[in-house]
Amino acid sequence: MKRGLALFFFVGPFLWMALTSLWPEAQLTRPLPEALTLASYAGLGGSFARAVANSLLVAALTTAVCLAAGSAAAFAIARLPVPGKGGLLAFALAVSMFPPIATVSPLYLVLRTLGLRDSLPGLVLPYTTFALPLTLWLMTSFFRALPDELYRAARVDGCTPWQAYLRVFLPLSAPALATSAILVFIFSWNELLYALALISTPERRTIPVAIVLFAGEHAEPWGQIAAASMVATLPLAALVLLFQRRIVAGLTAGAVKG
Amino acid sequence: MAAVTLEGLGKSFHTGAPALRDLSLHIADGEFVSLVGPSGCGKSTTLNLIAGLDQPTSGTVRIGERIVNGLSPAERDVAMVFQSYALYPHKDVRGNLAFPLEVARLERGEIERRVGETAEMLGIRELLARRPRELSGGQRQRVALGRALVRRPQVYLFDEPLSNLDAALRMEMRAEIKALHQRLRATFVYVTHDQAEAMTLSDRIALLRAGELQQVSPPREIYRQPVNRFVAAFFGVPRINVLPPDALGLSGEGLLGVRPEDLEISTAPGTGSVAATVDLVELTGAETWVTLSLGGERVVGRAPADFALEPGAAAWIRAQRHLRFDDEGRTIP
Repeated sequence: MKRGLALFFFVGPFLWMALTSLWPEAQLTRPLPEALTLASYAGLGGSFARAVANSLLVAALTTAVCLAAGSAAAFAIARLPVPGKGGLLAFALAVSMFPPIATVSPLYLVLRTLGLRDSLPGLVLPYTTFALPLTLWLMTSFFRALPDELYRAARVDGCTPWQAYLRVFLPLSAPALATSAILVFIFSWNELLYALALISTPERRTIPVAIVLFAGEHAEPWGQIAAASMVATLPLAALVLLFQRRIVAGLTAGAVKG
Repeated sequence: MAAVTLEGLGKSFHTGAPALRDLSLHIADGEFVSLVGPSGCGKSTTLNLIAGLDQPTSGTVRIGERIVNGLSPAERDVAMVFQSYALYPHKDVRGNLAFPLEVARLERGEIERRVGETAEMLGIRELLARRPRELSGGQRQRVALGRALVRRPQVYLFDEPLSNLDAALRMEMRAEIKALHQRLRATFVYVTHDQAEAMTLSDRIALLRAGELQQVSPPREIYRQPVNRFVAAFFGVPRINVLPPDALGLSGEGLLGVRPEDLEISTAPGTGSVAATVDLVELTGAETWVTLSLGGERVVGRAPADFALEPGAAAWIRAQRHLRFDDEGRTIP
């Protein structure tokens, strides 16, 4: 009973959304529809497909940059004698604590000066600043949990620190990389505030912006909004289900001695 | 192969006392030298300084004729075996053995030849396709040895390689390392906290305490002629007895050190013997360890397995041989 209630609490809204997306638009207020339909999905159109592609691009780029920079930096912090590395981690955390709304207008000015306003790379940049600390912390704790003798062995076997990172530590960090990747991807995929503020060209909108702008002045196309949300959510849900074991392994890295 | 020469080597970390103070030690080409001492004595620090995993605060490290201060481990041509084996979990045994050669960019054919040879020598040929997690402790240790051997380095470094093995396997691997040294005639530097391991393996033993070298001598000499009380107490099981001379009916200054095997225990008084009471009798199999009290002192002696006295019985003891320490603990010759 308790379990059922908890399950309903989490899955209920999602089910409601799924049903709404299949409900004929005109019969939304009825308790039961005459038939379920895919009309809402069909009505999403090319502009939404465009938004999906944009979101994919931005999220993938952000993830790639975060993993590449974050894991290399985390390795240095965890293994190399970097002066002031404790402060570096704290500083990175502080950056991610900033309320995004407070940074929107300065960021707008910065990106405009750089000529990156209203462009997808212009979104990747602020996303990375917010997602990188998370990657850094996750990867650092993972690298710290790997035995020190492994690094020493790699060094004695002739590796430079960079080779030790590429050939020994990176191949071992798949669980932490997967965890970081998914968390960063979800963050970039769902981000609305910056995308809304920085992107003005309709062709460059990302999914959250597209969904928000479905609502017109006079009409709320609930069916389409629900259908679009389904399209936005399903790939993520699938991804997380697929990798859930690795995600948990990555999140708890270093919590107990392996 | 090459000699290793340490001159005035010192290492300080940011906090606390220096880890190593003014260590000078020459390890000859082909020699097996053990660095021993209690934990925190600087033995592992010394090994890291030779390997290039750490840089000395003062002094020089020489491998062969070359001063290697400031060189990276890759440029020093040394191999190391670690306590935790430190095998690469994502590579199979073949990959582990080949790794140092791949990093050194050897030819594919040469790598395969050497990996095969090494696997043959250590009897791990049938393990080549396995991952480290599928191996037993002894097998992992063998692979770790192989990863060092495959490189044919100038110097082999061992950082407590047997500490993670159970007692029986430790003895077996100990013999194997000794045989390996006899076969390769290479320079071995071996760190351990186990005095028995150092005794059985080494040509010479260097004992460190709190970052300072106490004595470097062949095993027999370090056991029979320790320079001070600390060295005397570090080697030998049971530990050397230290007591004032008058307790044994002798005269003179300082304290006496009597090895348990030098303590003669008899049931009747003899010349030069003193009366004692048996406290504890421990049969270890081949021999018996007897704890006795005399006056306020306690001493341990070694007796044959058929030692007949029960606790509480009277006995007479005599030191056949003793060392004498002055007030600072130095041995008086």
